[in-house]
Amino acid sequence: MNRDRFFAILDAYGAEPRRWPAAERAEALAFAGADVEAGAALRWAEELDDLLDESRPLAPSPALRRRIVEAAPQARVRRSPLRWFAPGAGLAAAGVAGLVFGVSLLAPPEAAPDALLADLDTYEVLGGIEPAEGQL
Amino acid sequence: MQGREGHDPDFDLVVRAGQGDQAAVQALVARKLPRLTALAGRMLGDPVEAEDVAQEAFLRAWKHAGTWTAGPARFDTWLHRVALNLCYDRLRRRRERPMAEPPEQVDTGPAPDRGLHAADVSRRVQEALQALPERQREAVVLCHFQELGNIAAAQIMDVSVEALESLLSRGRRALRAALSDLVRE
Repeated sequence: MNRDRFFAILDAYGAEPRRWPAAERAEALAFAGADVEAGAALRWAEELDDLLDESRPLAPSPALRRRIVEAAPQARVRRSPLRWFAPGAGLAAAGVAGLVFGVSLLAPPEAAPDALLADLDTYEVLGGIEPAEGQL
Repeated sequence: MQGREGHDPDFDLVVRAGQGDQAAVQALVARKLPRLTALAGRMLGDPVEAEDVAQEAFLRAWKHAGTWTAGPARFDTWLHRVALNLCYDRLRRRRERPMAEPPEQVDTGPAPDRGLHAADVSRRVQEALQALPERQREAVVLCHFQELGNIAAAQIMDVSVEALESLLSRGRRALRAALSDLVRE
């Protein structure tokens, strides 16, 4: 570290060592402690630093913060393949089974049991769609 | 979009935010939004435009967070680059379409404990910053106000460290000249 480089660092980065290049910081600090002109140069650079630090940053508004958070990625809800066995689906299936059984009691004697079972299978294949109100 | 696991202090938060972890989202916004808003405010000198830039930069971050992978650039560096590009887009539009009135200056009013003098100095500094050539302003904003290291700042600006130092030196001299009456107080 020589005087020219030390002054160039102050010229570019100011007087605060945390803003100096990391690779040269230790050497520049050592130079500042040893050179007779370094103190005056530091104070000169510090005057501008102090003024710049008086400048208050724009703060984000709560509305901006809210908009950004609301636009963030949402966790994906994984749907379990076992969802059809959920209590609601079971109840619906039981309702349909009851309906089928009830209809079978009213059905003409020639209705084959296999056909009724086929209807139930169709319901299950369709994915347990709940019957409309009044169907049960 | 790149990050470096183990070296990038934001890496874990970005990955978790990309997975929809709302605690990570909140933490990342708390950590980065004030810096982005301040950056855009100093670059543009207009609070409304600055908030627009900060919001757009975050929308882009959310878009890429789910596929964030390790790489040479930190998230903070990437986010600064995105925000600065958005600032430059707006500055370019201003040049192409001169405004009838200058933008509302960034000034949140005097803080109760700092008095009128501090607010006045703040306004003068903001005016002096806005009067700098854009690249000098960018260099001063990144290194002085955002406190980025010289290598990161040069990377964001896509210049050598020597070129960055030249921009900084000229910028600081111009600021000192513009604020000379305050320096002598």
